[in-house]
Amino acid sequence: MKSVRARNESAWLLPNDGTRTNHGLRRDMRRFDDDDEVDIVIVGCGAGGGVLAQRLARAGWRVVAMDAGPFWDPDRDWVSDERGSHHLYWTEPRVVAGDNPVPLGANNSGRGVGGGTVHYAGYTPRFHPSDFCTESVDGVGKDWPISYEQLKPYYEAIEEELPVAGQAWPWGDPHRYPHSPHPVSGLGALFLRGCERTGIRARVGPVAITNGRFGNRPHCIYRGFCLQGCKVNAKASTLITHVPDALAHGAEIRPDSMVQQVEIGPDGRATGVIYRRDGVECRQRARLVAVAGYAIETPRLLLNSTSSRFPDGLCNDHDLVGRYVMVQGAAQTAGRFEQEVRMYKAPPPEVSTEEFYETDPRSDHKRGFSIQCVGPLPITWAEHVVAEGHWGAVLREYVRDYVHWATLGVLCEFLPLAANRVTLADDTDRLGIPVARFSYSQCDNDRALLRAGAAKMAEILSAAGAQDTVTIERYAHLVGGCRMGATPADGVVDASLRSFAVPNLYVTDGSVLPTQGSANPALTIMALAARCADHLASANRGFAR
Amino acid sequence: MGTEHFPGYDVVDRAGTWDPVTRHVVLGRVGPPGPLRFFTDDEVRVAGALLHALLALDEGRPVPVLELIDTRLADDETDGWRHDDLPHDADAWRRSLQLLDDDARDRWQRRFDELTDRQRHELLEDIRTADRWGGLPAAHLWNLWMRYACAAFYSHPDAWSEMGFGGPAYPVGYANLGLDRREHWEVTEQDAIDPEPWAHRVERAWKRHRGDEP
Repeated sequence: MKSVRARNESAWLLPNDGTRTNHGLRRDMRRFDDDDEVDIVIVGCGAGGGVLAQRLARAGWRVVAMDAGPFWDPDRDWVSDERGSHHLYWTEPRVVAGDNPVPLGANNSGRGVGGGTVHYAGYTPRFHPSDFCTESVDGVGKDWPISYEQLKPYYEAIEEELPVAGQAWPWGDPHRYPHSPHPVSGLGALFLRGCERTGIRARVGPVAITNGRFGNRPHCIYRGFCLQGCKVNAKASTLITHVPDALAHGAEIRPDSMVQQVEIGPDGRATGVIYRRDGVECRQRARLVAVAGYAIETPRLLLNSTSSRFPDGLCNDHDLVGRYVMVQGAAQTAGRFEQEVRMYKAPPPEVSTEEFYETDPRSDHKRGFSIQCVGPLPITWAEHVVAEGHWGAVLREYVRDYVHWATLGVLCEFLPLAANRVTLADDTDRLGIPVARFSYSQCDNDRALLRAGAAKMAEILSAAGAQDTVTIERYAHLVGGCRMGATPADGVVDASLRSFAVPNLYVTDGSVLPTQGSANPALTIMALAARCADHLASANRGFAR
Repeated sequence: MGTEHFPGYDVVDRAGTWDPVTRHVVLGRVGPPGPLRFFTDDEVRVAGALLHALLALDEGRPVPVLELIDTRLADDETDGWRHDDLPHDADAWRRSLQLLDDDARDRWQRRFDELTDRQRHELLEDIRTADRWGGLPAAHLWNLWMRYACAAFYSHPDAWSEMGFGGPAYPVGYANLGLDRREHWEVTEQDAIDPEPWAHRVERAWKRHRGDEP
């Protein structure tokens, strides 16, 4: 493989003068007219869309990547503050329902160039080889139409580009990381201590945060606001890891552009997208369309894209669009320690264990969970205490005691269920477009997993010396909704991420995942987008200029 | 300012080290709040009493929680989702404040803000543990109140100082990671002032909460 700089120069295209944005690159950005038929228009410039844009721009394609939100400048737009970071999230209206409704917005939905990678914690584990065949091996979930081995070279490439820091990884397909592990804070030290005393293997990492200089990106300063957008340029987001290189290779990033429909011509092929910018309805023509709006907005866009050929929504011939949306059961348990922990210092993502990732035949459930440390800031910490039922003076006492608490989070592999789905609500957003309604209910296996995961966290914290614990039941990540499958009855897209119904329409985001493992999904989404780009570039050699 | 547990510690003293964008946003919460734009006078009366109870607000050093929530509701700044069985956030707030007054009158022939602390505690605890209240799903409504209340209160530097939080640390960052390690400007929690074990402190907080102790 070529050196990372020869493949992706993003980190070297950023300024090295203490500011975070290459304004010249943005000012000189190539701009296409709506009437230009570009080679590809990408809807959503997050983990999937950002990588795809960079790869195809490098291949010589004429690329436009749209995003509903702004083209961020970390210096100007982001703050070291929880409440002041509200604008990083998708806060347009959505409706949640079901037996276990899933809060959206801050925890799982990005908006603006970089998408969710702007405010994810930065944990970037790979999926395990078993994740690609849970149906065959464990009798639950769904087999992927690709194997781990097919994705592995893309995992390796993206890990270098972010780059990922961590100890040698013993789980799944054992591998190493390009950057050495970060030093651990009090929080990480307690997690490691608890694991050591219970005989559980734990490792530092894997996090997409520079440990040492990388190009013009500086070392992490451990300020703890990873989830509020990294003002340092240390944590990887596609805004800094892929978009600069895409711009340098002639891609146009078109921010503040809300796509409301994918247009289909009389021949059943996509002709481009209809979008709103500054209140005006526009049309971008394109030879190919890639939708990368993530698990809620991608199904919403397809369901809103009706036509005589697709009266129930684009690519929805088999009633699969919006189905099998998954969240991970992500309960968090905090332990109270005599010593000061001050868990707001250092990145919240530090240490993980995947010791319980695979099915344990002695347990009452299939598949497993991972445990990671998380460092809630004051408002989020208060939510943890409220979740225990506390309010008034008791709430204040627990929250005030903040410096003594250490928080762990579990990621449970909840199963894909057809009834967990995105449909259109009666409500509309500020533009008058019908919004998504997301209904979610757990199954018995999910509940058993969650119990096991919470018990394990309590065991680790107790072994580390915790005097008291509080637990919040919550969810993390969103995948599925347009899953890939072997046949049209099985999935919305095929193994190359091309939709079965429309030959020039692709879905390149987390919504294509058939199962979710108990790993954070960002790295897998990026690897899938990079693999799709390889497929597209070799299948359309005429687009290279 | 100084607090009981972190004497002499005021996170605002660090504001000169924060980047200007963050400083502007955070210090914007410290000054006198602007005029209310969302709540009516009647709603202010009920919401004030509600937030006072939910957050055990201090008399002496009030964080302008009501004003911060009023701004959010006036600007329609939601969290980006609502439960399908609750009205939109702004409507849910208005309706629930009216219901609090109605419920207080039904049970004690007084307005909600005129209840004793014990009565108000009883009414709120009933809502927290109910299935439905006033035709609304009680748990979802409680969650809405607490989300708005905590996001407002714990966005305020006074709340951060009370808990010893280091606050925004850009561009300086944190250099001293690890158990019982502090930056030179962080203040050690004073066990001398409050020597009780954690369990006793929680028990005392429960007594205050139930109104058994001032």
